[in-house]
Amino acid sequence: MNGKWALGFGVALVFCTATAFGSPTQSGETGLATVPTTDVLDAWRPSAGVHLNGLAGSTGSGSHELWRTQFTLGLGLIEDLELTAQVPYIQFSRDVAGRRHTDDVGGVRLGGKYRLLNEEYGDWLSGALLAAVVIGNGRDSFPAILDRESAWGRREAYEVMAIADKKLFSAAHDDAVLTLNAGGLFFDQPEHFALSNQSPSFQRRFRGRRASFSNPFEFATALRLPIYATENFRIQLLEELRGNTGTVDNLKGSVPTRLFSGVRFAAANGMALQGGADFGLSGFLEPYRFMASFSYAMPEQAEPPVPVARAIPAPVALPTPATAAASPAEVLPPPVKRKVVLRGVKFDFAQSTIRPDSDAILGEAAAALKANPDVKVAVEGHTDSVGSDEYNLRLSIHRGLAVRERLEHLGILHERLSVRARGESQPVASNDTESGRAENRRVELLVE
Amino acid sequence: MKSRLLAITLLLLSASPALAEDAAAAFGKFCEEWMQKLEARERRNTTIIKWEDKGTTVLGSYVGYSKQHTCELKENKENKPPVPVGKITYLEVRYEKAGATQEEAERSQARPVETTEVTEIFRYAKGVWVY
Repeated sequence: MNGKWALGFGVALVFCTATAFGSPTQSGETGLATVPTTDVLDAWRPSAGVHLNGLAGSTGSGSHELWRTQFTLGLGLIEDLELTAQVPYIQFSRDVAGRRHTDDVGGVRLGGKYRLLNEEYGDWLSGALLAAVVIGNGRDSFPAILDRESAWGRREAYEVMAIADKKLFSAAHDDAVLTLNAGGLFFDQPEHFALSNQSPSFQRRFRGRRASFSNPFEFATALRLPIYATENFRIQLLEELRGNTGTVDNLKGSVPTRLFSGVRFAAANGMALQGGADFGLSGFLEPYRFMASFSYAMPEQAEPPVPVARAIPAPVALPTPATAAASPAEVLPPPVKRKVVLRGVKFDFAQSTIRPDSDAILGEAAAALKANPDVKVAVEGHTDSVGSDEYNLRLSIHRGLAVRERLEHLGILHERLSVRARGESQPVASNDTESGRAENRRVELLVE
Repeated sequence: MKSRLLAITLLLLSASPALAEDAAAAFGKFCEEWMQKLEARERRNTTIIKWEDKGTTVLGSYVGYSKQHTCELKENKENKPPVPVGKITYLEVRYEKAGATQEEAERSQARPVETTEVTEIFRYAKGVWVY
């Protein structure tokens, strides 16, 4: 084979517990196809995955193949912090002086991602910091010619990255999001990148160029655009532009930059498929390749049984509507406010995913709003006092947002619905009893 | 397979009226119990008033609930099978008490200052009204 071409493909299988819509970020490695986003696993939500990636091509001096298998474990430790561990096995085969030569590297990558800012909580953008230590098996012979795989041939490397997400606009059931990344890898033994450590053919090819590789600086921008979405699935367009210094292309004096263009299908049951083409804009080895992945998010934990009213079977004939026996007349000022309390809306435990059995309540609320088309409401989420103030505040806004999304799905205009977080600040009953806590957990629609 | 589906469909269709009857029978009791909860809430609220010294007046407020209310039962037929939904409507009242001293304010007649119409929506599941 002649020329600078390569063809690759990848398959990722990710098994995890997550929000209903599966996301590649659950692998703990990426957010989109390859670019990390600010998404993190929910607190105490584990994830596990296996990632397979294959690449075959030619450098002009012979053919090469690269196969990568990576296992990933992830855990949301606390709100906004996820920890991940990745164990890759990378096998690189190529022709060296007419003989097939194979290297394999591996190791472990331990890291975490902490979300500092969140648009959903009113911040202007979402921001996160990612840090990891890469402990490679130190095979010096592994050529430093591939982007991130280079790190696995070193004994140790450290990775730091800043991530920002900005929602551009909201469409029905999905959002358009722009992501920016900047960071780098730092090697404890950068001399291992010296040209003298590479194969003879490699050295001949780059004789007279820089003698070593620098620590890679990484950058990326990514765009996720909704193509079509319903309550049950989302189809998204993924566009990523990313690059890094410090690899083979730098020897030629250019910064390797790649463009990924793909499509992602994510279903509410947790399955996601994505695929696309990856083009090297200045690449040496991989002008283009194709990528595909599949992920699956396991169903969430069910909420512990919620105390419910123990109805005593009683033959009460109830007219519809019915007015109960009125007590002696109270002299009250006419109502100046109006609110609807949604009592039967249930969420998965410590999550903001609405359980399907709540649809009847939300249907009633939507019908009332449709009957009063000029009315705008504030959706207020309330929690009990279990958990910290901050945790409950965040939980309540997540749940308020989820209710708004469901009402939008039921035909209520986005503009008519604002969301407020109340957390545990406005209890209506004592938090000392389970019954009282159940009364305090509620979503209110306040007519504005 | 078809016969099994038919049997399940018939079972659901036949179960629906009974479910509605059970829900209706339970809702009257549930509605009254819920209003009793509101009474208990109001009694508790009167014991945890936060008093504010406004200089010449001590002021406190609490939330109470009207005795008058309505209990409405309907079926949300967009759900399959239909889900019984209950609504309880009442007035939420913010009361104020005032006096020259806290003791005087505590003894004073509560004055309703603001009223909010509240509708609470419940659903019936597995033989109970869920809140």
